[in-house]
Amino acid sequence: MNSFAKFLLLCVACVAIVVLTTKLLFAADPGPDSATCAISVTVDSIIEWEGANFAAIDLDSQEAAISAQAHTPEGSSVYTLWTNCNVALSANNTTASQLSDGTDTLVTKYKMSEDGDGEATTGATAAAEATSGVGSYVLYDSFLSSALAITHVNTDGAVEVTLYVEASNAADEVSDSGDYTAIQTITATWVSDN
Amino acid sequence: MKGNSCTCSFGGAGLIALFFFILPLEVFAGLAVSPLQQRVEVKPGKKTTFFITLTNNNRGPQTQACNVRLDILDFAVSDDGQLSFGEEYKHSRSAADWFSFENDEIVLEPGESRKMKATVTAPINADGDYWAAVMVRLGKSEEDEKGVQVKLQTASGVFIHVARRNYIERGSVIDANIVLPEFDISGNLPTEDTPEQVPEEIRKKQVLKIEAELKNDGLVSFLARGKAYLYSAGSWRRIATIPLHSNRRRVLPGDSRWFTGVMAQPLPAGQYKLRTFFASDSKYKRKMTRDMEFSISEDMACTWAENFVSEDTPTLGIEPQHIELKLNPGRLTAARFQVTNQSLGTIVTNCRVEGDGSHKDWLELKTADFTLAPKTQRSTTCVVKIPSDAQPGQYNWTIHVETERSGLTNQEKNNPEQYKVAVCIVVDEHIRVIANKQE
Repeated sequence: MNSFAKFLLLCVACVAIVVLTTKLLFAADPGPDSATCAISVTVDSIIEWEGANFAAIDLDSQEAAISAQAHTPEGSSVYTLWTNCNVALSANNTTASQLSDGTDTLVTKYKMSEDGDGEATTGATAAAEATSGVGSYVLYDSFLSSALAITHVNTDGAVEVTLYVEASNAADEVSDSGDYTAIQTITATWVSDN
Repeated sequence: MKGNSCTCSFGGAGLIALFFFILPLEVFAGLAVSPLQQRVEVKPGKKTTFFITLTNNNRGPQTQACNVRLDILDFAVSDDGQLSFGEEYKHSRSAADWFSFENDEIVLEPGESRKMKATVTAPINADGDYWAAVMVRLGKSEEDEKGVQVKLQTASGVFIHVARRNYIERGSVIDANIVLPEFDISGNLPTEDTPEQVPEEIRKKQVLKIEAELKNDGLVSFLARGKAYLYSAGSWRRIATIPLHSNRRRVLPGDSRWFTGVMAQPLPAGQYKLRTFFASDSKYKRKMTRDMEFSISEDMACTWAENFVSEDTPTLGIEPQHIELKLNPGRLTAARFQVTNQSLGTIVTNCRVEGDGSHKDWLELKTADFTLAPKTQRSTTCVVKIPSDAQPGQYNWTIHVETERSGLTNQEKNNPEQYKVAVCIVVDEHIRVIANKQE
């Protein structure tokens, strides 16, 4: 392309810019315009777990290390379960949820409470709590073996679930000294398929 | 001034120090999973996709990123409807090996939502229903943490239907029991209690209980609806209806499920025949029935009648009884109402929407019929979809809730009770006014 052609192309581009800009500049006010926006939302069943830190329940720091045969320290952790439907909570009943140092074990018991009543607020009804037996400490291998039914109540989308753990020595025994750990898994599942 | 600003900066630093070191620093993490169960259709030998939505809702500055892992697991449903997950529950209709996610381990930043895509491939010889669960696990494993590590997880059920043909739902009632009411051995009430004052726990035992175990003998799952009819032994004249309830009405192929019906109303002494039967939605089904006989003695009938307390409260409690919404054209949302069975017997409930003819399809009930155990409740969702070209104004519907309670029937009729939920939707005029001006 020679220099004249380049000059010609530049002129055409400049003219186009001036014309278009002027048109925009002196154009009439378009006035208010309507915009139709279809707002949609998914209406599916939802479960949301929420918790602070998700740190382990450290019985030493929440209460004290076991320093006597009869000492039974407790610890707890609070989680929020957001839901728009009925759900069921179950737990791991394997030895993974028993406090162990690799060779020795502690008597490990769990219980659970929640801040709803399943009637006026989202939570478990008294009957559901009695069926699952979560209200009092039970051994790790039977904790929530019958799932806890959480009944969703309209306008209350959250229930605070507190998990408690208690450690103790077996009767007439003292466990080996050391750090004991366990993993407890709480599973939320769908309930109704109506 | 300089001194002041210095004081301020020291004060600020002190506050920050207090915030970080003295006050407990709580960071939050959470994970929302949706949906909790879904049905996926695929042809034999073909592929399809489905999604699970994961969201780390931003609940403030303390919200932290959330590690998520997806595992595909087998699960089993026990005959009382309990779910168990893991490899040990592998079964012949497992779909656990049929699908996978593009990513099975992700980190969700605060406020982030992701649709996790899974691809399903059905084997060429697959036929009927198969299932597995996606276990959504939160957080990372901390190996060296002392105490009890708590792992939170949510299960999402995936039910895969491989359609080769029309399936006949095959089921059979494999077991059934009749549990007669339990009363104090003496047959008398404690002296200080009238029947009205007897604790509910005791009254719950003073009922006739029918238990029936339904087995799915076919290749596809079905939503079972069960009832028990009571007949006087001599004439096959129906004298009572008892709806049967289960927490999980869907019975998977090969599974069996216990259904329970409860009737509090006393029966007179005599011989009775009982027929339990199940039905489903499908056009292609077979009758699933089982007949039994039992008798009520004079003593039992007398004690039952003495202890029975007629309930004055309506069978159903519905909250709210009026739903009012203000919505824009094009809006899709959900309204809910709570249905409570206030009786001591089982009930079956049917809901239908009635409204202005042309607008009837704006409202859709997610569940039109369900059963409820005594003194239980459930939420019913009504999906509201306003067309984008809807004219502004007020629209009214009525949700008719028809309930059949367990109890003695009159002249072989069921025990229907009618309830209503009024729905009023005002389509917001604001957007339309601007649109009208332009027109």
